[in-house]
Amino acid sequence: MTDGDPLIERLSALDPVLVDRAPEPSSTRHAGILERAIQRTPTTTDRPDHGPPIPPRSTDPDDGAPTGDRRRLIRRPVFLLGAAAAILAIVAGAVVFEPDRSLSPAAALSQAAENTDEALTLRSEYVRDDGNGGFRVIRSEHRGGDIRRTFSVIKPDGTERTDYEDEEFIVYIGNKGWTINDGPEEGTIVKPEERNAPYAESSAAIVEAAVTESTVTEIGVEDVRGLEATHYRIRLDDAAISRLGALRPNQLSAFELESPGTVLSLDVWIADSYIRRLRVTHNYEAPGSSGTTVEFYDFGADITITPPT
Amino acid sequence: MMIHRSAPVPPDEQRFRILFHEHFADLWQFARRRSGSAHEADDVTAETFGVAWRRRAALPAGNGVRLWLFGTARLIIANQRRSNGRREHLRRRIEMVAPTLAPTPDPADVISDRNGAPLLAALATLDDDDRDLLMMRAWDGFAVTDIASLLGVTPNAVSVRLSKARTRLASALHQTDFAPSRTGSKRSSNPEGDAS
Repeated sequence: MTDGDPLIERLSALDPVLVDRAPEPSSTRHAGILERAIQRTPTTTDRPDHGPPIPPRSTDPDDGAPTGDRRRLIRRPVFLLGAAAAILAIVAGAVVFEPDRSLSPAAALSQAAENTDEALTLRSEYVRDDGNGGFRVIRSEHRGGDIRRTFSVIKPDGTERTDYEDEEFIVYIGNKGWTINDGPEEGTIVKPEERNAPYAESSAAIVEAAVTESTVTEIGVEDVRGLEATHYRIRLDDAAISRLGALRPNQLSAFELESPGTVLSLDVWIADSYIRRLRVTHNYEAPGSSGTTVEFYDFGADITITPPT
Repeated sequence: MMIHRSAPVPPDEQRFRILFHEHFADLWQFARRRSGSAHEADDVTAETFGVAWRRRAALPAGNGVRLWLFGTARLIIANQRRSNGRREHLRRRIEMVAPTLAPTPDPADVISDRNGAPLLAALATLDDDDRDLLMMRAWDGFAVTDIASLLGVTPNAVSVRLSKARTRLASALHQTDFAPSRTGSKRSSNPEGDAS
């Protein structure tokens, strides 16, 4: 898998496992690793269960094992290579998860927008304050432009119930949409401009359009779904309003931003260089209203969108 | 430490053992490429299969489990690094390992140093995203679609990032070639700005 690139070819020849082989299946080490796994013997590492979901999607992975050709490329004593690889691994460890404190708020938001834009799968939760003590909630799963949604309302007493409008599409796949009453074969053709654009793309476009160096203020660090997220407030000046207005309506509608000129505040929370929350309040909303909040989570989750059954 | 059992092995454990044997070598190699020693790779492999064992009822079917294992191993390695009080610990280990890179009189080693060490040193100067991408491509042999699945991004994004990472590696190698005494303990300046 070198793409015929001489540099990648050279790198392939330095693969540490060409000289430091995996334990043989009949070896004590091999059996010991199996036993540790099954008996759940604690190891030196933390459990990753609380990390982000692992996307299990696969097409047809190539075999990562070294080939005969690659093995032949190694003809020299190997301890030097092993030591270099060890240093490489150590240095790699020294930079993993180290947040880049050198970025300005605008640059951090821009980077988060770019990362979010590239996300293939994620989940989102839209919560809109109805001004009467209740909330409208839309929870969605996204895979590219395909979406599955559930609708509910939270009443002032805190109880939640599902709340579907008959004509509301709950699943979008490709150019088709399905309502709650549709069977799997009954999807309706939906024009691209008549449905929400992919949320990852839209949220990124909104942030990119709204942010300039002079209009962003860092508010502080807050918890968003268990993550330490940096909260930024964006002041929409005339130029930002103009740029937002130039976005497609179906990029703005999911965030109640079709009328950017009435936006009172636009707040963005980012963590691990991804947009985690967007909040929009308008000047026509009741004082104290929390406006519209959209949270993003489960980036990279194993999500497949299928027609409703 | 062999497992001795008098009772028949339950079906789920039989399936898990098959899974273990099918993926052990690839997973260990994946871990070894990102660990400082074979012992650490053993730990990561055991922990990854431990998670798979606990989640054996909900593992992805077919080829999906392969990428699931690699993705879990990546998290374990990252967690391991975070929980080890990273910087000071690693600095001490670098100091311990670095002397083994001292030139030796063996001509073969000199050749190896000239051909391999500078490239590894250049790789070490890249940021973690670039380095991991290049390792997944050159060492793990992953297809672009697999890398996209592991990272949760689009294949097109992977292709773009790979291209940029390759360019930065070439640039770092060029700098390293003119500074052969460096061992990669510092990050290079980034000629193209942000990596993403």
